[in-house]
Amino acid sequence: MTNNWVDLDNSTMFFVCGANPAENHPASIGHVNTARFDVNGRGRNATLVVVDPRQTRTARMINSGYDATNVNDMRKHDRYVRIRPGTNIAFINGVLNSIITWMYANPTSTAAINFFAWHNSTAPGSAKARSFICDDGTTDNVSGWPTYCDSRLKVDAVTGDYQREDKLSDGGKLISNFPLLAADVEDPDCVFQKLKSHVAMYTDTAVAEICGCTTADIAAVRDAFIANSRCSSSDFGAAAHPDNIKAAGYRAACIMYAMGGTQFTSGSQGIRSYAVIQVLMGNMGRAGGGINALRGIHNVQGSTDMGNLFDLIPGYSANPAEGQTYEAYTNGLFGNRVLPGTAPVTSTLKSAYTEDDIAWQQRGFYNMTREFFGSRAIVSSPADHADFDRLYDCWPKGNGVPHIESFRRMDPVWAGANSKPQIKACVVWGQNPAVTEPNQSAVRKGLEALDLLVCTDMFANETAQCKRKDTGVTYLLPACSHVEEAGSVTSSGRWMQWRDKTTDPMGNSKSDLELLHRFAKALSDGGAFSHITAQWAGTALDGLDAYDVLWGKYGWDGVSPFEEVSGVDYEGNVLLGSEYVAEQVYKEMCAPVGGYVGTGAAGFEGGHKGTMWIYSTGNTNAHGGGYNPDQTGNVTPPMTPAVSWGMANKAKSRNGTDAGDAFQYPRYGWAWLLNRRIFYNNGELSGDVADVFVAPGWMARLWITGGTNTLADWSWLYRKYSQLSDVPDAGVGTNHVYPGRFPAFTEPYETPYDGTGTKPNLVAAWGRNTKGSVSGVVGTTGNLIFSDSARGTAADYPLVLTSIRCVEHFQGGPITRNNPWNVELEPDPWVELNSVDALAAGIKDGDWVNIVTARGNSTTDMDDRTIMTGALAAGAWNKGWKARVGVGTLANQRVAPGTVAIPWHWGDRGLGVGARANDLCIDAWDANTTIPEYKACLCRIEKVTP
Amino acid sequence: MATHDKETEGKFELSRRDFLKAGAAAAVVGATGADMVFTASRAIAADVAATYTTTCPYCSAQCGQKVDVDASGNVLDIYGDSNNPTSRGGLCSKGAGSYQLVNNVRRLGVPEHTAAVDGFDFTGTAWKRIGNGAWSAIALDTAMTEIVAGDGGNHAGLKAIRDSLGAVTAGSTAASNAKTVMFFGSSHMNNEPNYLYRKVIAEFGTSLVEHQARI
Repeated sequence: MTNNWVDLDNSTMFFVCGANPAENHPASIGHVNTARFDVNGRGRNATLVVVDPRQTRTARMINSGYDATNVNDMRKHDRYVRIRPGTNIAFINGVLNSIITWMYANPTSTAAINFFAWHNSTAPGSAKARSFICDDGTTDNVSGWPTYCDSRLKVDAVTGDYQREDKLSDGGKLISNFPLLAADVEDPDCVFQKLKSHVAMYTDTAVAEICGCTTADIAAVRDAFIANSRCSSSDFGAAAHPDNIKAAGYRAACIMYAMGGTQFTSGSQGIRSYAVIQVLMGNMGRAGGGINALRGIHNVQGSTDMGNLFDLIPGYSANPAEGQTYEAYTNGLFGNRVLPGTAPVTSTLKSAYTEDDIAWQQRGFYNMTREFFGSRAIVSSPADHADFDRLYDCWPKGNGVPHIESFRRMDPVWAGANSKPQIKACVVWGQNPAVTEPNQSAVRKGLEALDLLVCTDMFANETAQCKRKDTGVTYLLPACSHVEEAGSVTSSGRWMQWRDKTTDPMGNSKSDLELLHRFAKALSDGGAFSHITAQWAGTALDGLDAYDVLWGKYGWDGVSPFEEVSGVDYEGNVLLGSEYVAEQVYKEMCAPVGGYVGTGAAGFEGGHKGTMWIYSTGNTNAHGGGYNPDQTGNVTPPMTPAVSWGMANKAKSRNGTDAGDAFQYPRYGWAWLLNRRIFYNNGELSGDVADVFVAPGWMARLWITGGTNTLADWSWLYRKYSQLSDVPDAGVGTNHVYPGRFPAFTEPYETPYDGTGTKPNLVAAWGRNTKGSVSGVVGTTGNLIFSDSARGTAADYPLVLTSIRCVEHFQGGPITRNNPWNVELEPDPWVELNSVDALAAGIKDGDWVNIVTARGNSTTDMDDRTIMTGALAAGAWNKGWKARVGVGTLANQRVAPGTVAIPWHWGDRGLGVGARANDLCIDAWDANTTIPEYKACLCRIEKVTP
Repeated sequence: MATHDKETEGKFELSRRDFLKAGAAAAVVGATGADMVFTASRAIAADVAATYTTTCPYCSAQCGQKVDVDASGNVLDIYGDSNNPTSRGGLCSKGAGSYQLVNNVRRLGVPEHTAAVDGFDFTGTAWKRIGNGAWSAIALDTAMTEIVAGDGGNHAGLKAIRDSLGAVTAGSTAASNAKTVMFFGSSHMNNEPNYLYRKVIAEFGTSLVEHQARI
């Protein structure tokens, strides 16, 4: 989330596209209602617009009535728009086209005047002087830079990059390669006009045909956006003031999305379309605005921050590449230039081996390299960095393997046929891929072939009990629950909160911290770290034990009872077991990257330098990271009257009584980055530091603090123009004007509009998404799925299958399907059907339904991949889906004709068992994230005869 | 469904009726868009030795939770934290039921686990199965050792499997990155174990890691 959960209170429009928060994020609804029913007494009411293939329970919240006499009651814009699964981008682009067309058609309206004044930087506050890095390595301001967006930047028609010029800063210093700004957005070369021509193909009628909505739907959403964006807000052009957001005339629209936005082959482009509309409408950096990803699992934000992904390490840094030197790697991170640039900026400014020369992300990586593979006792200088380089050499070079491919590589036949190294062992720690991964037949084929499978969970889940080859060995380790282990977690709104340990892990279960320490100890004792200790030869670490150096620092000696480990925190509180170990790790992650001065209470173990740059801070003064003993005063942001942090570990802060000027509870937990509760706020929010948004040069401001090394020349990185590499495989040059640069609608990999069924052939007109290597060049058809994955056509599978969630169960199921009460509330998986489709298949409400896709069905055990006999025989999970058939008119029904919706929580193990959605779902993936296209594939339905 | 109640009989005070009331309130959220409601602790006040603060283990709203425990460390109830600005004391039917996630006889390693639940004795410290044979209990330390070094007959350990295509070697070549062992991590873990998981994988010498953020 660019904003956060509490900030929903400030919105005047909730645009929910690809989420169902009433069921899947119920806590948000209190805030939605606060804004809709004006609980805070601001004289205004927020509208709710839901765009979704299903008329979800969130959609059912619309039309709660409104006060027609109050111009600030936005609920008159309430609307539910039903679209076909996989057409989000077409709808957003249609709204964009409609908005731009409207602005030109109504030039005398206040909204249009403000809209163009904003984009032309003629309105107060729409342009500011900004600091850039000059060719001589110093910084200087350039006046008149657009505050939020790049609409006036000129694009080079050939390269797709921005046009460039040599620019003199306000102080007369040369800045080469500076992006060229048009005089106004009427310049045919500028980004605004490029966007206008790109979305012009998304006419109301074209979009209505693609999405299955009406042209009135598009106009209504357009009107809602115009009425609830910056151009219509009472603070337009006004100076920042904390009272602005309390005014009845304040307007800000936020977008709420979840996996209904991302689980497509074009998912990243869909999210990008949200960014485009929010930037165009000036809703970024606004209280109540922003783009809000409602993420799934409680700590999915934190786990992503920690880089447990094939292409990342902690802090969104890339894996060092094969052959890449430390200097070359660190030169690509946010920080200072440590290698000569290309002409004309060729100077080498700093040394990668001098701590004070590098900044933030670079310095976090420097610290992390030492903590991961050695010790912070290892230092470096430009003249002597051999010891540090030895530690850098320990990083595995290059990326891993995306999840879908990893299961294929476990299959020796597939690995051999595709010339890939076979994966022979797999450690599954707190996940349940035997339910959650698409195309289970391929997944289970891979798991079955493993020599060694290690599972850690609270329950004996589907993955631990999956079918295995006769010689395959499986181990199962018992994890504990969330109340038995201390540590921090990071919410979708980037707030870090500390979890108390309320009791020791029950029975023989263990905390993840203990199991990981025992795992590391076993690896160390088994010689698995010998390639690291070999690197220590000749350094201060020569001859030391790997576990003692790399893990002993967190407090457990490898022998004593783990929960009896003890120590004190900075304030002198005694911490036991996971409380202390978690605190030690937290300090390593979150301490200022340059360390801290304070020495703490007696017995406190200090000296940490932060490794997780986004959880950290650059120095010891006012701007604070998640752990900062030196920063206990009324800082970041200052509050009036003063409220101090009062503790070094800010995740433990629980001041929920003082909301602060912008109602962001700035002393409740801590939010990355630098406790920003709203990203890109650009100084508009009282009491916070200016953030900056898009545009070359601008990211630099985001991390500016005082001190010597923190004004970093990151701007040069952003003098590049980057785009996602997606390109459609058809329609380029016709329907797709600037694909890749701007989001382009493409059909899902399985779609009823493929030309084989009864629908028009939209695949021919708009194409499917592909991973391209060259911008603007048509991509290779089908390169987002393995050629050996089964795919169906509309002729055989006429219905669209989409996967959903419900409030009573959670994700892959182990932590709800083993709870008797959750199982009682929702015992069996169901299928939502339209009455038309149900009637055609002879299915009545309550009947059991078999769903068939090209990959499998729900009543047979696909390819005999589940243990159905013997000691580990699975329960009666494959009985299909219980029909929930709609009644009445289309307007009343949950799904439209042609759409079938199923929850994905069930599997074959646990107290509650049921059909697995992923026996059916397609294993095509998004071009950028590899997220599977769970939300749209083709199926047919059959009544199960008892 | 009466059998479900029996599983908690005599140990916990929270009744199924109490829970279903909370669950029904949450269902109302879905049906009408009402706010989640605060439900006070259902523990008997005299039994509560300490109250702790945590966050809900389900969705990423991270609603605040309070946990009442007795003097023996038994969790008596988990209920909404009304000081939390996000959830304002409310919990949905999953969060309200997390008490049962903690006090669950189906959990691995808890003494209440009975063979009748899954057909296996999961009261031990770790378990192992060969092929599709039955689970057998194994000491945790033994399991860790076998996972790393092999069990001396049935399978090789992670280290040998890692090095089966050539030993992992520090440096800047592909040899620094083993391709034969895959790791799946978890959004169900706190930040600290997530960080350590990524760390141990890097130390093991591979970048073959994924987790739920991809799905």
